[in-house]
Amino acid sequence: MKEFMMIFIGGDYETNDMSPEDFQRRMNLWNEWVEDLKKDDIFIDGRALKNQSKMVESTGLSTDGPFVETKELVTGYFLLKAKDLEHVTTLTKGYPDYDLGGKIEIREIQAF
Amino acid sequence: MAEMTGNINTEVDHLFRKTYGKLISSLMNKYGATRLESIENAVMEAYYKALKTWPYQGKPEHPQGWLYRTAQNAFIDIIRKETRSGETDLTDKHTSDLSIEEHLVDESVSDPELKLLFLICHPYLSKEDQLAFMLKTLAGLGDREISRALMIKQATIKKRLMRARRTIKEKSIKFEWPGEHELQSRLKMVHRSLYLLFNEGFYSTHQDLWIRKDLCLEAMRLCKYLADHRLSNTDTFALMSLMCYHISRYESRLDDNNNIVLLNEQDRSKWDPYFIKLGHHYLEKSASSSEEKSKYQVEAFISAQHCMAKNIESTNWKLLKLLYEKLYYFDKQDLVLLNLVIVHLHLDEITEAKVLFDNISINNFNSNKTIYYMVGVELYSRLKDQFQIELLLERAISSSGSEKESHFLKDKLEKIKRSNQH
Repeated sequence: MKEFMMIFIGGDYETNDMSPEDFQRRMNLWNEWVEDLKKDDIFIDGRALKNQSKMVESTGLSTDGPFVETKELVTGYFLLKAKDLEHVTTLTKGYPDYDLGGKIEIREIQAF
Repeated sequence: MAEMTGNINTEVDHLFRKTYGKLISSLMNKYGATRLESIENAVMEAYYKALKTWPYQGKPEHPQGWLYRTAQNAFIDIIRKETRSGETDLTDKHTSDLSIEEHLVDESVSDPELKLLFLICHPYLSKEDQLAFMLKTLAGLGDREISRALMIKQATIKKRLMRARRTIKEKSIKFEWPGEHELQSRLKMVHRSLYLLFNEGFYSTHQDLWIRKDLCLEAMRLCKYLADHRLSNTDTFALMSLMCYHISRYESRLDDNNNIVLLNEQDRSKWDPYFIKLGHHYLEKSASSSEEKSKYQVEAFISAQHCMAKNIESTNWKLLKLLYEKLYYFDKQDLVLLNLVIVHLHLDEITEAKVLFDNISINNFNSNKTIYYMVGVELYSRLKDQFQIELLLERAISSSGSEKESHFLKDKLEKIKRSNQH
């Protein structure tokens, strides 16, 4: 088994346009997806990321972000255990935010 | 299978929507009505935070309490940013957080929610804004959902909500119980709003099933709480009774394809005996009072007659005629007259039925022309006027708003045409 990262890009929520029911529906979808991955012992960890960020350069200078457009912003990640890249690709079906323009980058974690 | 699980989830778990009114009203109770906009933003922020964390960390042990605390913190943050000072005393009056958390967990209505209902029915707010405002703040619907439920443009809904918020702010309306002198008039408005809310759910024919039934249940939840509250009166009981009788028939009034099933074709074994019993209970309570009769009571009596009858034949149509006439005295609506047409038909008073029907204008049935046409079809079936029947059905088809409904009507028309050929 290898380790992979799913990096969620874009698909951020326009909260002022969402109803309580919309929040609920989307959360239920995330719950189901995470539960499925946990059940199959694939899910190791995952978190959502806030939009605010800081960039620090060699000069010690730091600037406040975000630095990319909302649709390119990393909104969260999963750490997973799987066979290979193909296997992880089949797991992306449960991602709830395609309809908001969200996409997923899959990267294998460098092992020893 | 995956689809089924999805359905179960959306059926069962509506925590966010169901907690919304409690959160808003509790925070208004603590920080005042004029802060409504910030309170709404804070509650949405709490939901956003929940969506971004619960799937990974799991649902907290007391989700409502978590949402309340998170919303409260977000609210305090918002106000601090607005006022640029950390020292402001935000509290409107002293309330203990413990009791707030206690009632949040409770499934029933809380006192702050009832207070919010009275606020929504404040005479400063225009009647047309009140229903949208109630659906937003108490029932927890979003602008899009309200627009769909009321079949009014989303931009209009937004405008109405803005106007309601602005009025509360500009008139500095307090979050409090109505005073003794205005209680009865305000109670009247509250009943009217609950009645409207219920009817929106009961009579609308659009596709979002969960919205429809939930509007009904929301109206009943609030009405029941009011009925058990010290502020209730005879009308509250009558209204509650009426809703119980209606909801008992909820499942049988539509067929599997969502088409309206008229009373004489409904499967009475599907009527829910629990709600019929509850309807009797509240009607007795209402009738035993010496207060003046109202349209709610007459309507409840009408529904009771239907619910108690074993079938169409044994229904007491003579009494129903008197009741509908009485109802029309209180509520001069053409829908009442349409019902009276049906009563006449059951009493074999065909001529009276036709005279009455001819006096009803289709133009008074904006949202539900189908009902008008269906009654017309009943009438002309008795008169054996094939031409009129087909004409009415064709008109019904062209005015029908939903595809399923027009399909159902076309089907009926085909059958009638075919049977006529033989």
